[in-house]
Amino acid sequence: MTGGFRPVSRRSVLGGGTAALSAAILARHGHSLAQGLSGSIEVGYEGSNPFIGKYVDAAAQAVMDANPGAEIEVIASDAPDYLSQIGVQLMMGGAPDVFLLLGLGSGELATGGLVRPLDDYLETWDGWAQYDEMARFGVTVQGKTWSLPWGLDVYFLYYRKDLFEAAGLPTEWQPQTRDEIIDAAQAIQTSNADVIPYSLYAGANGENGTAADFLSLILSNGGTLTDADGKWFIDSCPIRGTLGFYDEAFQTSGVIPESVLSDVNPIQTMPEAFGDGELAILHEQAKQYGLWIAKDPANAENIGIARFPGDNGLFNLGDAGDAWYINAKSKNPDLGWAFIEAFNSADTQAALSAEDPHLPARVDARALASWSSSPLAPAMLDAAEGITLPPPEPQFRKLIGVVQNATGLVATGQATPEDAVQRYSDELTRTMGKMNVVSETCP
Amino acid sequence: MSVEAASWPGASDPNVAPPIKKRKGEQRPYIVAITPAAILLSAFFIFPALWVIYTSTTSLSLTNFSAGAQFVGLDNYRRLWDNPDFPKFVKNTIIFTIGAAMIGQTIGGLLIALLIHHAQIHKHKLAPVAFTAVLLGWICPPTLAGFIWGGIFDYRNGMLNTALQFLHLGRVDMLGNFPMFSVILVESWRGLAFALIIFLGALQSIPQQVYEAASIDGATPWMRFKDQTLPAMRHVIALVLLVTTITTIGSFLMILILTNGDPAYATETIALHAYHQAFTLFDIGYGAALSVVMLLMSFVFALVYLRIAREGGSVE
Repeated sequence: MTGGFRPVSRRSVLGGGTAALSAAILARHGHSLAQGLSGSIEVGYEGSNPFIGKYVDAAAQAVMDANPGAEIEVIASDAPDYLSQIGVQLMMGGAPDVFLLLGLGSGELATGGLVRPLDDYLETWDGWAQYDEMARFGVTVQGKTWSLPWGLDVYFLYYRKDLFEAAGLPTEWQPQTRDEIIDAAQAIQTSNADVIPYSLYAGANGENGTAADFLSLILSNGGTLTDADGKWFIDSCPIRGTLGFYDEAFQTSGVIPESVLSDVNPIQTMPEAFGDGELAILHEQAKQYGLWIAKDPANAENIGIARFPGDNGLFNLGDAGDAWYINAKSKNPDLGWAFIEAFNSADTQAALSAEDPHLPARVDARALASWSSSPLAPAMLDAAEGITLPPPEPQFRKLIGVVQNATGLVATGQATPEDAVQRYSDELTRTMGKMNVVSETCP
Repeated sequence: MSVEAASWPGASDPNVAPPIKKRKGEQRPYIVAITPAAILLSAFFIFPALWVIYTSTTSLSLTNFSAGAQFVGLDNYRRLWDNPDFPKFVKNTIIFTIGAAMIGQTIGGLLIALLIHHAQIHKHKLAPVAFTAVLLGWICPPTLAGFIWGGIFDYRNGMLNTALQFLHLGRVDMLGNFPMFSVILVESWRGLAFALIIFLGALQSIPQQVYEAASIDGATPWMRFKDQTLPAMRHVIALVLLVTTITTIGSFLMILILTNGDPAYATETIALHAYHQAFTLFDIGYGAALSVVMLLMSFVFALVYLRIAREGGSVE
């Protein structure tokens, strides 16, 4: 979130724990790992992820063991804004040969010519057959695959059973309508004034969380962001319904205090508040569940999981999660692919997705006990059919700022939903261009 | 007296020294001495500034990076002009600059410098403590400072609201209800020490006899400040205003950490908007156009202050 970049921490010496993992990769997949490769590459990822490092190291070690002439330097970035760091590095030079970034970014990175398509490698990789349509959809742009995800992000509507019980609400809860979420939050509010009943991300401080919640509500209202021709809706019933829901939650019912909006870092503090029992209902990624359980195992009993209600039934928002890209300027893409291939074994995806809850991108990984026995796996498998992913639209990033402004205006009461729709419409038209937007009358 | 010596202006005045004669090559040491500074200035200011001006006339962005920086003339400036929020960003920038640079850092710095100077003259034991306390804000890394103040302002568990609740008072959502005041306060706290150090140095250079003479003539403390201190510090105040204003116009880190421009653009300054456009949306050309506007604003402030300082010099 902040401006300056701290120096990256480089780890070229791989640790002892890595040896066992890399040996396992070699033992199981050694025959299929690329061999005879040489030269060196850099592999980068966001160092703040506490789970992934050992798997990155293990895959790098396995490739180096299989290719004595190859050298892989792993870079765990400490940059406070990894996305900005990679963006600048890609444009100015200096980005790692291979890097892990949101799969949703495939559209803009591909359009900018900054990454290399993976199709030639995927054609000869037997693991690609294990990626179902959903896993491929989030990283496919103009018929080409630009990055390889290891696990899909899946959103759930989490609720605190202890707070629900205290408010006289059922501890097994699945709202069928958006109003039922507000009703439950109001009951919590009446029962305990010291907790935050419900949280939606809004405004700029909500960062990508604001866009995720906005998109969930658009889907819930039976809409989409773009029409069949890829034009952006600037006005529609779902947009009006979404901004109306923000107004209802923040202003009319007041079940979300405005302090959620003005919090310095709500995408961190709201999940923390939920884990600490200070927030009753939160729509978040599955990976937060892992952090709550890791912090307090009792949370496994206290946290209920529900799907998001929509006009067309229950659904879960998803996205491609983090995916591996090969820098277009990489001088050694073959070695880069060898690393990506080694990392994305079914075993690694299953083990990592169990620790850092995700839906493994590979279907065969979903069947492995190391993942299927994890606490959130049954809920994710149940949801798998109804997971809705946004396409990796090249202009998606531009939408985020417009959404942040519109939701912020409504949440603070500075604009009515109607005024906010007008602002959304004007700003999105300016941002995307008149030729790229479309309006849908709302009766 | 030689013809040459008699030809320089003031030759008839025995109190005026003759001009230093410059022989060919004599300026070489001066040129050599300033060359490193000129190179550094070019490398870190002039060339980047020229690059920003050039980029502001291109469509350079992440999504069309492979197409290169295509010349679009003044399109980015037209986009900026057509943006109905732009006046709000300008207004926010002016309020932020007046609040943080002029009131918070310059006036605040002068007041605290006067207090500390007074305490030093009277050898008050707490003078070094107060000086150190102000310096802490300056030496604190900006990111850390942002998070410290985020911790103070936090609505649920922040120090401010914990203290208010201890006093049986209601909580205050500083960043939600008083966002601009909050970021001005933090920016002032961060930059106060610079002004303080300059002002303290200037105050210490004013001879005490001047004040003693004024006191004998019956001047009150306010009259001594108005008639002795202020005129003597006029140039220094202009310098501090110049530096703090230019620094503050381009400063956005505290805002980025605390509010990120929220709520609803209430704290979105031109500098922060330029950062958002260039490094969050990667719309580099448009971000560069915003930076050029910011540069022009800094130039205007610089010219005004330098003019004030020059006029002050001619009056004196």
